[in-house]
Amino acid sequence: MMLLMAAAMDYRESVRPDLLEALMARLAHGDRDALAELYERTRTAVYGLALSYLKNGQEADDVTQDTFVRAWEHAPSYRPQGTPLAWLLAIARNLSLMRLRERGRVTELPEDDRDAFFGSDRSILTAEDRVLLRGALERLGEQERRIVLLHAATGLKFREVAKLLDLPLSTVLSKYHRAIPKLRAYLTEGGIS
Amino acid sequence: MNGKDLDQRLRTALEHAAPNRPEEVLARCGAQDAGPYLTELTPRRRRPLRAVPAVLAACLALVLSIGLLRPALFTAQEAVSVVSLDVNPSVVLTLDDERRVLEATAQNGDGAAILDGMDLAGTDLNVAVNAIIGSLVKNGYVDALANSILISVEDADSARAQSLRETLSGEVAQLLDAASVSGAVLSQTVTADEGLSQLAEAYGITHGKAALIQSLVDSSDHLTFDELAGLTINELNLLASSTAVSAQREQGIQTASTALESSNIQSTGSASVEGYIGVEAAQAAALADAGVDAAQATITGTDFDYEDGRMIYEVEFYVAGVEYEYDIDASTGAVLAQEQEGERLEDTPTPDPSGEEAETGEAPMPSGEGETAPEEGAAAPFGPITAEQAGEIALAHAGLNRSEVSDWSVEEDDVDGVPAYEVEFEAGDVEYDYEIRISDGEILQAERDE
Repeated sequence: MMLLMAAAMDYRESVRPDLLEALMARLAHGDRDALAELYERTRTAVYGLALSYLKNGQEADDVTQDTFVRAWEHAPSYRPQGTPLAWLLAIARNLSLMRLRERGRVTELPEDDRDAFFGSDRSILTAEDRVLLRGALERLGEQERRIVLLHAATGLKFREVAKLLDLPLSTVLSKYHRAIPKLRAYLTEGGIS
Repeated sequence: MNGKDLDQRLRTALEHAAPNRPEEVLARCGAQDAGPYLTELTPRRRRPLRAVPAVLAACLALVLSIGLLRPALFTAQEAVSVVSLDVNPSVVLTLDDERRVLEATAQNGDGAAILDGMDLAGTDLNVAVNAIIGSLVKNGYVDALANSILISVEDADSARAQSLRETLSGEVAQLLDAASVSGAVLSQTVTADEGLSQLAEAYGITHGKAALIQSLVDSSDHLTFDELAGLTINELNLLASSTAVSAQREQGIQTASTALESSNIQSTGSASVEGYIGVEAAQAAALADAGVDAAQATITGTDFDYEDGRMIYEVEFYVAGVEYEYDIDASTGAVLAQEQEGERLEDTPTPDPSGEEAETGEAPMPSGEGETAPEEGAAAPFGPITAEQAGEIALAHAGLNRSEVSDWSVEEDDVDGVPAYEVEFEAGDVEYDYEIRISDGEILQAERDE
């Protein structure tokens, strides 16, 4: 039995390196439509990475927006290396780390403010979305969280996630498979099967 | 719900949660070409102040007034050596060929606090080092809890670099003795390395600290530059002196080698462990969690490692044919993870101490010659299969043998509540992922991801 992850394949297709490289080339020449398309294709990946570092929806939102502004500003200096998504994620990671340093530590969410965590204007967020994201942020260790969110948000293969996080593939696989049962248990507690 | 379902649900949740306001971004986009993207990343740590011993206070006072004593006609000479002193504060001294300080710069915020008020330009190196060590002690950066200092010397003349390194390491050790601090001094000579320089710049650390971190990363199969960049020299010293860090690189072969031993870093004194629970307490926590009497267990190793952003003790022991490996939080004694391999030789059931954290780890395939493809019928036809047998079943299904695959992993999992082994491996550019039912070896899922 061979199962293919159609949705993941679709997502990977949308962030295909050659597509993104073409957008980066247009971006370097000041094409704002290219920025809008790059944003649409990669905003989830950038947000997922920022959230995995910051554990705070609003700050991850800010970093996502800032990342694309930075990408616009620095696009003329970008040199095609076949990895524009990695370049964008590196910007997002740096901005996230700078925020972490500014605030000194990860902001803890007040118990009674969890629904506001992912932005009150996110009417599109379902109850399941909120439970899933809370579970990822509250139940998983630092590396587990980064691996799980990055893998989900980017559709990257594990070896690509390993390369991006500078971790051995075996570590990524091991952490991922420790994280999934924790997340599953959290969802079960939250009444989601 | 398996991992793939969760992935898809998480991706959907992230798509919903991610901002979708491109117009805001476009409105903020002005002029382009701000140059290549680069930022400083290193975190900072500060310790409480403590009293400085009288001898070092005198050195400090000397340097604070040295600007007045310095010859008025002093002019900058050619820089020949660069010395960095790292604790968590990092200070870099540029020297001329007479070991006179041309420039003293702070590499991070804590370094700036250490140099605050000092005018080191034109002073002799030994005076400058005395003052810096005095300030480190006074400001509580070097004490019984964190006693390690890294000295790095860069000089195109290797003999001069070596001589300077020896002089400085001896002097710093004496100064710490004088301050009643049982210090640990790491010292090294470093050479120009563009890659390391870029890393040092990106993380806002010294070239010397980058070299120490790189030696740790090279000796380990799991430590990363990113996670180590924010650690103090004492924490890095503990890891560099640990056999646990490098043993994993050697795939379980127990050796006494450490990252320090395989580098050119000289070490005197021992890194402080006073901030941690200690080896005996870590072993006791692991044995208690496993439900094993200490008298029955043979402990094969206990040493520091670093996992998930914290210092841990990795405790390894075996009892009755079962090998255990525990990760114990070095600060709290909490059990963070455990793995076990093998089946107990006695009748008593194997304890299942840690619930969801338990896993089989990366169970090796039976080695044999490693060239013959296993047959699908290799699994026990009746009753539960082992992790090794699950691996054989997966390989047989994929038409591969063990020598053809890499990144091998077998872990306990479940598929819709059915206990299974998840077998993963790579061959070429293809990732394979199998779920094998533990009770009878039936393949529940097989995925191939190109």
